[in-house]
Amino acid sequence: MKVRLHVGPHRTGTTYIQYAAFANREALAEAGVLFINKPAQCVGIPRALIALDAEGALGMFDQLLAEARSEIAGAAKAQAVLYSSEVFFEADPRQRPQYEAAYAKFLEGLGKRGHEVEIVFVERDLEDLLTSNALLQTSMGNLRYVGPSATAFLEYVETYSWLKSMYFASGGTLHLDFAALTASGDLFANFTKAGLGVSLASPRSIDPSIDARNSLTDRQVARGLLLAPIVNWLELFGSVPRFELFNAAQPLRPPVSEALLDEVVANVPMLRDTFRAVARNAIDSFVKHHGVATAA
Amino acid sequence: MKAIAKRARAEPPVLSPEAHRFADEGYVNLRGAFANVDAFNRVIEGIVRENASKPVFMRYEKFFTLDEVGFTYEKFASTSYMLRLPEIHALSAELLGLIDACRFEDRLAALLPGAPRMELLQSLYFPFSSNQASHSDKYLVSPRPYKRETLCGLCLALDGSSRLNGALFGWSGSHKVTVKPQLADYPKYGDYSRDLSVTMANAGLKPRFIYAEPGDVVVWASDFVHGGASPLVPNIPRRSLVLHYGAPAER
Repeated sequence: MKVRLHVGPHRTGTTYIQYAAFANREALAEAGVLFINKPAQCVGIPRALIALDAEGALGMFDQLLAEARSEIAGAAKAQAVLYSSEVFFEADPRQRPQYEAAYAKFLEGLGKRGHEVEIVFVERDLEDLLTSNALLQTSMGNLRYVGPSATAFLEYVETYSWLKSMYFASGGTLHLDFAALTASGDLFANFTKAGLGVSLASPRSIDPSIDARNSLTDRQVARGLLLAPIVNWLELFGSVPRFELFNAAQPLRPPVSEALLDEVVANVPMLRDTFRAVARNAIDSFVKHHGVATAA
Repeated sequence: MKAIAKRARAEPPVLSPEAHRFADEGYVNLRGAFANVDAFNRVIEGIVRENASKPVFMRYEKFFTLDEVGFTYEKFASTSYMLRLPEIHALSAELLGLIDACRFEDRLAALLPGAPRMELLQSLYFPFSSNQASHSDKYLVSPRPYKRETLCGLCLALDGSSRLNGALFGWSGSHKVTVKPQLADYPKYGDYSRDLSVTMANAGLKPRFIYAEPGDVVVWASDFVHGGASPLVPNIPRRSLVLHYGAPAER
């Protein structure tokens, strides 16, 4: 079978695509594509690869495929498999050779099972991507991007560049443009049409809050700034990852009055300007260091 | 005279500073509450060695022998593998004797309103930080019927604790937050801990480390939210004996 690995990266609509694809698994299968993520945001395969466990990743792939075949109506009609996770972009650059070896072993294992792998990669303007990522991280109390130094951004670009090159070099790649996917209409519909060659007649809509969680308001960013001490404390010492905290049954409230929160919110536009400028500096530094040409 | 005597009896008892702190914050550290730390460590080492081939060691709610996980006593004592030894007091009369000799029942009665008669409910031995996220013991400790509001957790420090080896932490005042998420309502422990942490933070509380020296006993109240911090450096032991006491239920 053709196996399409949608590797992200982050901030290219992956969450929305994954939830929408999960809600439309039967329709996708009828159209020939078996979406094997379970749950919608299924991170086991890249997590296993990051842990350098290629066999574990292959085992998870086999299990997800078997479950999808038994659970999804119309699975027998599918000629292609889709697995989607932006966590493929969370590999640790300090383990570059080991990760590359694990990933190669994973591809080899899929090949031995008779699968042909194609990478699906969504390209977003790098300055937008870096700015959006910095805002997302800040909204979750990660303040490493807050400041005039480009170091954190540059590290991100270095890792992004390495992984993008590696995935592109590993075989066939479907290279999609985020701007085109979001220009008009529904992102998921555009993704399935451009990426999978599938047009669903009347796709099921998903909970609007899923999309809202990934678009960042000034208030969300302000909350992250104010919640950073407790979020980081709980992640480091209290065994509660930040992603989990922001999925709690009730939202975590900043430890300040609404009036003070409003004042912080009013300052977030300055932070957006700063992120964009520092992101630009990081890209320029990267280009200068690596001697590559850009269109920007 | 009779009326005066009656009024005198009605006066609230004078509470110790420890009891005040316990009532206000939900925990108290009884500094130097037991002097024979070495004796506890020696007896516990003997228990672990003697029971290495018995399925009495717990990891993620399952029981194992040390042999099954490929551990010797030395490895058990030097490698953090989330192993604990529940009900260790039931494995050794000598350990039970050491515990009884400390007369913790009396110390606890002095902390609680009405000075209830307390008895040992259960025990757990940890060679390292429990690495357990925020939780309340109130509905987690159920060895036999007892008055849940009287439950007290005791952590006997057998090593000093720090951020390096993962000190105990707690949310000061959390025992006064009456509406809390309950583990029974959650399929996953992590989701319960997460929602409990958010509930505490939204109540205006903050987590704090509770540092202890060998010989200290940290006592926490029934509904006090606490946990074992993730260590900054792996495999630094933080030996502790956790005991739960409660007043027996009336029949």
